[in-house]
Amino acid sequence: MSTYQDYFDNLHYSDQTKQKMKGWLVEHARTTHINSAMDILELKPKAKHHSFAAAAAIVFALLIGTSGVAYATGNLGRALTFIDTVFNGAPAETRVVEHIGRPLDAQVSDAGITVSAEAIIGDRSSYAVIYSLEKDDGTAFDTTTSTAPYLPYVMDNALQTDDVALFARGISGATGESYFFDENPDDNAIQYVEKYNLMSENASASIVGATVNTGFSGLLHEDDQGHMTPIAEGNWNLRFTLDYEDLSHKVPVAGEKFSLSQCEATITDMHISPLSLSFSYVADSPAYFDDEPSGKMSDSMAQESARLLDCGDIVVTMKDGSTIVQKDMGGGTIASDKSTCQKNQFFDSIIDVDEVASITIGGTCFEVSES
Amino acid sequence: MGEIRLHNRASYLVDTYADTILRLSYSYLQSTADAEDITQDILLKLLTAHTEFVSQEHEKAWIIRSTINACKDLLKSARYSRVQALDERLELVDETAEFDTAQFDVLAAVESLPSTYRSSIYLRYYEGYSSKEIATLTRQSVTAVDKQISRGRKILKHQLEGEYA
Repeated sequence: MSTYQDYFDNLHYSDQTKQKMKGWLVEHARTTHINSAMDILELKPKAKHHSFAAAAAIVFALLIGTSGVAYATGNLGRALTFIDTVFNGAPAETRVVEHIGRPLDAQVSDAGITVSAEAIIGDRSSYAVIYSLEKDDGTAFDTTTSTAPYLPYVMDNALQTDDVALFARGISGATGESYFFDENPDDNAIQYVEKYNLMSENASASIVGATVNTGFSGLLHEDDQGHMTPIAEGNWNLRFTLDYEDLSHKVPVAGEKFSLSQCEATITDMHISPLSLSFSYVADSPAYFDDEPSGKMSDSMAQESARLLDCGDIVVTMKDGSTIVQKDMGGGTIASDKSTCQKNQFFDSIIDVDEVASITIGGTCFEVSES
Repeated sequence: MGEIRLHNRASYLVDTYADTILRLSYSYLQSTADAEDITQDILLKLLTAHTEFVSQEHEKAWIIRSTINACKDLLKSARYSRVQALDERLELVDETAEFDTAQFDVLAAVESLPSTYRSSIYLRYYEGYSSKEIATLTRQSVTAVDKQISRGRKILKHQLEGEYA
């Protein structure tokens, strides 16, 4: 008689697969930098959010690039938006004031805590939403932290990417990170930030103006050992329009070459914003892998994606001579032609684009013109 | 880490935890391809991080917690597809294993459960964790875990006509 036990017993790696996995682990343990990828996977509030490209992002990106999945744009996109409105009601309005989106009435109270969507900042390929959390009894949150400036809190159901909003806008995937901080120690509110990096093969795809639904189900405190203690169990569901001014600044490029790990590439487009750097390029030699519509990433596909997407260290040089080094973990999108690549990188903190002098990728320096 | 120690550690991690991560992540995702990616990510982090564990139970709890986080993160992707062909699931398992018809019935029934039910049932009936431990690992209340297990069992019982549940 079959049981749950049999079901799970039969789900295991073969000895051959285990041997391959051991070899893969040893090889990658020697060479890879994995911390950033796992930072995203764990969604913990980290003091550092360096180069963020997660392995998972590569998987999703390759799915899009090789399987020819249709985007939910046009009529389908409008239908999705309509269905979303029918089932969820009208979203809170957002006004853009001095580049920043300010959702109006996007606020909900439960379990003694009020959560408000306060501000949205973004560009064409990424955005960040800042929420405030305030105790209804007026008392303050414990802001003791060993990972300053980040607070040791975790939002349950963090980074719930809104499928309807994203697909309706032609966005095919997203990665993100989240953290808490205290904007003003003199008040009783703390702030929670969610940052999303969007992926799409469609250059005109944009999330600006989309309606997003966000739902949190609990607030937890994390101690230094990683133990979580529930602070409040509630349901904070917010619905608002993602309006903000696109702060992207186009970096002039003219088909310059730069070096990838094993080949050359030609830059085709680059944008920088206070939040992120995004750029597109065409690799001199295409990726060699077969279409794998199931989404499984074979070893050869992983190697080929790394060959095309790993740009090494990306250096942002400020006008005062200081530099910001972004470690590239190889995430990004490979288009269906298997040569055209797109990459988005969050900065660790908001930067002043007016103070950026140049960006160096793969040994080539790209000057940033005056905005 | 020295070369021999690195090999030994990788071997230990794969032999001890690879199947656990596969089963747990598959119970969330129903995709062996994604489960394999998560297995590699989790084990690679464990291999290269300098995390100290006070016991093997502590190490295993860390792995389960990390796997759940990774699965939830993956599920949050707008691009994520939960549709997987049954034959793809079988690609990864031991080719020498024999499946009988009844196992396919169980498989179909378990896979029809919501992911939270599947993972709670896996942690309870396969890994042997208590409701309280599952609640800690999955950051839910004990009541919620008990409900998931109870409702999951009822669904399975109904689908399998009381034979297996």
